[in-house]
Amino acid sequence: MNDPLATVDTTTHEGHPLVRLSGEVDMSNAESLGDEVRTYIGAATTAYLDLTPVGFFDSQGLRMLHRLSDAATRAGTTLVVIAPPAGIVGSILSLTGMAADLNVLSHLPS
Amino acid sequence: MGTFVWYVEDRTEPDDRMLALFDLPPGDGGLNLENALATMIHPDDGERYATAVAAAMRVEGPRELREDIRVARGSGYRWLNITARSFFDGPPRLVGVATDVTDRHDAEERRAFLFGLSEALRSLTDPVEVQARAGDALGRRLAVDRALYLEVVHEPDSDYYLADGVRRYRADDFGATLFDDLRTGHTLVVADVTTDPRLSDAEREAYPATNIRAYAAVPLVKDGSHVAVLIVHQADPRVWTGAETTLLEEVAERTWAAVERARAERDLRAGEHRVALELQRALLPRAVLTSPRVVIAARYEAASEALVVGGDWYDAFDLPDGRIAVTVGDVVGHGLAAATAMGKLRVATVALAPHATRPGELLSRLDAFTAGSDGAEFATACYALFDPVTSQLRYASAGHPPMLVVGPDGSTRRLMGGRSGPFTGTVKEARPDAVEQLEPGSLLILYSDGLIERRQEPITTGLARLEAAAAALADTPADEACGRLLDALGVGQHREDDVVVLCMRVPVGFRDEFPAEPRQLSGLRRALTDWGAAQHLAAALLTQLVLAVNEAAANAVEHAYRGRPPGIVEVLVSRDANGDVIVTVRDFGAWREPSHVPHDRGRGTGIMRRLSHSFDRRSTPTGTTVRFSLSPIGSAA
Repeated sequence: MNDPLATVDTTTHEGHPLVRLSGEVDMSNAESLGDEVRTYIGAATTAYLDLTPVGFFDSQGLRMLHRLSDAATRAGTTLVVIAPPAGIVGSILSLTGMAADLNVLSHLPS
Repeated sequence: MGTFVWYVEDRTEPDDRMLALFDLPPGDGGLNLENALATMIHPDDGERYATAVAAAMRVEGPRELREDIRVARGSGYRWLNITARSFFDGPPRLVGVATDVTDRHDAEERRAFLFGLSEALRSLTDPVEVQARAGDALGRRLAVDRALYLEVVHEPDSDYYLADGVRRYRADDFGATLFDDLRTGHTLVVADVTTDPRLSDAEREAYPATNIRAYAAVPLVKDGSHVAVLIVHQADPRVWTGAETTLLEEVAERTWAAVERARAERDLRAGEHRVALELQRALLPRAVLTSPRVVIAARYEAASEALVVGGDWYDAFDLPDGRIAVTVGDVVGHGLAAATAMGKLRVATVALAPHATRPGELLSRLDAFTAGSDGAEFATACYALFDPVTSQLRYASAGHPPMLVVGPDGSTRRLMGGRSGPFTGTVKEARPDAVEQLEPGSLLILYSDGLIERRQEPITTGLARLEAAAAALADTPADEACGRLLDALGVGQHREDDVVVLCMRVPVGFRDEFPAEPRQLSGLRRALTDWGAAQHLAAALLTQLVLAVNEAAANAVEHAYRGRPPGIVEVLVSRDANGDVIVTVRDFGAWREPSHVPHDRGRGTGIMRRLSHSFDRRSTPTGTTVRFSLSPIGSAA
């Protein structure tokens, strides 16, 4: 996609889909970014969403995470969100208490 | 032509025609030089004539006499040319002829008079003055009681003659028949109104009140229309000679031409003034920059004197690097040329500004521009770049009066740095500039010298007056400040020059406004991050501030203008005395938010509440305002 704010990199981690988001996530791009991530994950049993490089993340980003999490649950996918607690996304997850609703890891499991 | 022989012992042998020229009967023996000089020759010519005769009678001289003299005839004088040769064989004598050359002299005098009149009228610019001057000159020349050039106004009942643009005379009251004839282009001569058979008794009665007994009038008929009349009159009966009426006719034509020329030139000047004024207005910006970050206002007042249109200009615009340019300048001179030069300089400034990082560099580039441009030989300007993030002003002046800064406490200071000479149409050495840190809330004032200059008053007096007026503007909005300065400096009352004043209010904190569109948010975040960095906000606080402001703005974008074109979202951020960051986000729409929100966790409002304290949101029919504060020591959550 052609988004000046954010970049989506797709790869795999130990055979599972890994999506890495960088840049800024706000109301201008959250929905389309969510769609793009969901399309890539498809019906995988496990998928990783790495938000470590994100530079800005707001309530629209949280809403996107929520929808992705709900969709993964319906598809039988375990969605693992990678966000260090001191990072941009980690901070807002702890601020809002949303970390409890998601599978959040501070870094990719080895 | 008469002939004569005159013997030195003073005996003359004139023929009868010679005697007639001297108004003497045939056979009269009284014509000799002594008699002639005593009683016949004009006193102004006698001495000259006697000297010339003596010279002609010297043996070693040219033996010739050639003189024009006036000789009495009837009640006046005639001009005679005396041409003679002296002989010394036998009794020394002059043999010569006398010729009446009165007509030639009169013609020469008339030519000289008309030439002088034309020259005198040419120097006048006011058509009424042309008429008065022509009347005066003619009156003196013909020794009449009055001479008037009157324009004609055609009314249904009669023509009216208009004097000095004020008094009116009804033509037909003075003789319908006479003036009918006049209207067709014939010169009218009346030697005595009491006996002229062309006047009815009723018409005759109009005259005594005017003190006119005799008059001559020359009509001016142009394109078949009777447009004016030149009239001379006398309180006593007077017979008008052909030479007099001819002169009258010639003066009438010349006066008409001079009046029309003055009128056309006046119209031209009035037209040029109007064009210059329109051009001036067209060349000035329609509205100065309404920067979301900085409030700027400017006013231009044209000079009150009709013929004065100056070359003052102002402008304010954004530069690609985020700085804001403000400028005021003044092309010396007036009229169309100054207005045009002003327009060129203003446009050149806007065009060159992005290519000059320093104000001094821009002024140098304008030097090069004026050197290659005609009509802008001498101009002054000041130019400044304001960085809204750092509140730093970089400025330069090319011979322009100093910019003024009014601090938030009402103190004033002149910006005296970065000075160099005016634009003179030649390329100069590099021009310097200077840096000034402006306190938040201060007012920057740019102006042209028309604001402070008064005749017969040192410029420092006007500058002091400006400072006194500016000191009261610490809390005045920029737009109102411009008006207050113009009022306080009496610009409305005696405006000899045009005046420009431009005011810029340095923002107290961060200010931004943008259309309510999602893609605008990233620009807001970037500008706010820049501002926070310049304010040395702690990194954590700045991150929280950007997040909270983003949420408030995103709410406005999402809710304020649903189903309508996006309106404006305004963001104001400032710091209070405790270092707290105060945020205000406003929109001017009507929110339509779902009324039932199960929980606000993860929603924008929740995030703002957790990050800030004293969160407050108020909606009115005209818009919604969100206010909250962030403390440096951490969030209130």
